[in-house]
Amino acid sequence: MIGSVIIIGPFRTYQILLIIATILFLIFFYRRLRVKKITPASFGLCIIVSLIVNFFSFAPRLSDPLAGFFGFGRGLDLLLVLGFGILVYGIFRLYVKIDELNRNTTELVRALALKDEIKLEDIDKEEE
Amino acid sequence: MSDINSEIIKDVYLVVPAFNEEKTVSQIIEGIAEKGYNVILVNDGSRDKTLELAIESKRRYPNQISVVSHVINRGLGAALKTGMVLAHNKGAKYIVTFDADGQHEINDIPKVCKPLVDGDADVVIGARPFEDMPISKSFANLIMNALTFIFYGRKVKDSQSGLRAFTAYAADAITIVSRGYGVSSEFIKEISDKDLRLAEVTITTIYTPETQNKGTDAIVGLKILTKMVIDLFRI
Repeated sequence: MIGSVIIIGPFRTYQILLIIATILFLIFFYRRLRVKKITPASFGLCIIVSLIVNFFSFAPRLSDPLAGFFGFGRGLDLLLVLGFGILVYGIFRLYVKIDELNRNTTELVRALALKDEIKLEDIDKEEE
Repeated sequence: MSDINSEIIKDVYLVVPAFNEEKTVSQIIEGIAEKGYNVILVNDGSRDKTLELAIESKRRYPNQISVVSHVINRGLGAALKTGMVLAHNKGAKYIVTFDADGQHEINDIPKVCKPLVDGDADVVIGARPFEDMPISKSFANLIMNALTFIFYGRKVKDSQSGLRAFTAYAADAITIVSRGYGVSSEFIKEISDKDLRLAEVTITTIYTPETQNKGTDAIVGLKILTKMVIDLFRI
């Protein structure tokens, strides 16, 4: 059954764009790997993710059984919902991180302000 | 006008957060110092002459005015907390928060302190009469009161007032994490959570073009609402 839906037809625009995006994506991370900004394992993960995404873009119906398992009609719907969920989670994580950074910055600014309470003698000395 | 005696005035510390308030800062902090209160001016990373003017005021009242400065702007909540920590370190028995934009009446300070001195409350909020406010402000504040009640379960006349008074015990018990205007609702939350006794007294509000441009408007209200929703997910 599955074999009958693996049809790799002529390239469509989104498939060409995806290939270009994948090449750029991998070049970007390869350069980061060369300057040791990421580990070989992370780069390997990037390659695996790229392969999976490209594979399903060329054989989209192959994801249908998986989508059916989760109650979606098409693999694309599953992908969209998954993508949305991951984005929302990512935004929430970012918010929490930024909030934490903000709090730490505020604590630092407060500690500095309290340590360096303005004294007239210090200002007068500086002016001399 | 309610009054408190001069012995108690020495124990009262006014925390005045200021961000770009060069037009009013000197008049406000010197006006408060002139009445015998201690003032802590927290310059919150102002880009105008607020800090320089505050230092000049300190020269006139060196024993009463203290000045601390955030090197970068961290918001109203952060500035209030800095001032309250310093007041606590200086041995304040009563801490009053007072806006630097000139919207509060200095003669209202004894009014908000009296329930604390009499032992009737741990925290006092100076409630601004909504009928005196411009319509847009009174509507925004009405919504904020409703949201404060829904999220924090405490009904107050004016959840966003900047004139508040705390005993040293209450100020110490309250934990503030909001950096911006959300701090006003957070005070109400903390009063509820820590079972502090709250009193509200009616205060006078002075509306000028400057004071009308600040405070709670629709955008600030939305930011506060977002924070209230996110706080629901905090552990």
